[in-house]
Amino acid sequence: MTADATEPAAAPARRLVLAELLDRALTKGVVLRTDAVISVAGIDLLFVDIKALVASVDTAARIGAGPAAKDHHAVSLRDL
Amino acid sequence: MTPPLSRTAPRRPAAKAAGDMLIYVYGVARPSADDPEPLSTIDGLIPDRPVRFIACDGLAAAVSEVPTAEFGETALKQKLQDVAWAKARVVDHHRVLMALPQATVLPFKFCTVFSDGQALIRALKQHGKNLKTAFDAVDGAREWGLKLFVDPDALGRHVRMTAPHLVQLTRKTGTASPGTAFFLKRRLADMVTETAAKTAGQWAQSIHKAVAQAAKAAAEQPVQPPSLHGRGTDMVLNAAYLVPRKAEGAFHRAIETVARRHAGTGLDFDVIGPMPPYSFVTIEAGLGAAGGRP
Repeated sequence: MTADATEPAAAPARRLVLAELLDRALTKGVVLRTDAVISVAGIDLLFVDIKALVASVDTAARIGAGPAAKDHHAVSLRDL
Repeated sequence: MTPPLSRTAPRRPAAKAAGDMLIYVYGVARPSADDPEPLSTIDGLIPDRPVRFIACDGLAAAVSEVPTAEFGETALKQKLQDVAWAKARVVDHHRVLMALPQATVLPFKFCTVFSDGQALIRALKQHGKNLKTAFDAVDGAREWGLKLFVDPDALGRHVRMTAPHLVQLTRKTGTASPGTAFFLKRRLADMVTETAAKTAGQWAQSIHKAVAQAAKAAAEQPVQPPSLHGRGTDMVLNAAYLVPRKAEGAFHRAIETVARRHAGTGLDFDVIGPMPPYSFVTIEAGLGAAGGRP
């Protein structure tokens, strides 16, 4: 067996990656448009280069877990 | 349907209560008797402005005050160019949503800002029907993500050893004359690549299907290029699942089952979450025909 064979964990680690959040919080979620809104993400975030923002995230910068904990347990923000 | 809107409503400058403050909306919750008591106050985006709730027709909007100097339309554009600032605020937005005591929360898009509480209440009333539909769909469930990555080399080795036509060709290559073997090897390499890609795609779909059965709803999202996910391997699935809290155990067992079945194949499972159901509440409640982008 190769080293790769041991890689996929039987119980995949659960974690939250900053890039995931950026991706979701910037592109998804409820948008209510009304006259009264001063700045609504759905309209005004168009000028944000989401890809640049997401790509700028160090993949090791997992939220709530240091780079060393990368492949171990998930730490959700709830634990912060 | 939504009643026609009067466009003559004066756009009031946000000079109300505490000077130049705006209302930042994290999300809207539908409180229920089963919700736990909040453990403590939740810090907002800026110091000394904790999260509070604005009630409207059985809903509770989680909001906090933010300064116009940072979150006003012009300032925000500037601020968001600062990647570190933007990242920190997104994390805050998420932290607040996850700390809310209510089980059912509709996350709002990052940086949804209203001029004041009255404006927010008007918007909630106006879009009450859409919100109700979204609440009914989510109903206490949270979002989980699953990403599948494949290591092309490892998968290549796997299919070479397991796909009958490749096993046969490998054997043939081993016994062929040096000249023939040279061409057979090249052909084998091409076929391995092709079979691996096809296999990865089939696995991604069958895994997505199996996992989706353990969820209330599922959404497939575009796979990200390596420049975005930053791994040396290929993303073959990027999916989101809406999972009721009570079903989370079964959901994770479903993933563990398929992961075990694919052990040693070069397939890597990345489970993300829990998150508020961002991917399942994309209701762009606009102003009807007038809701075009500026």
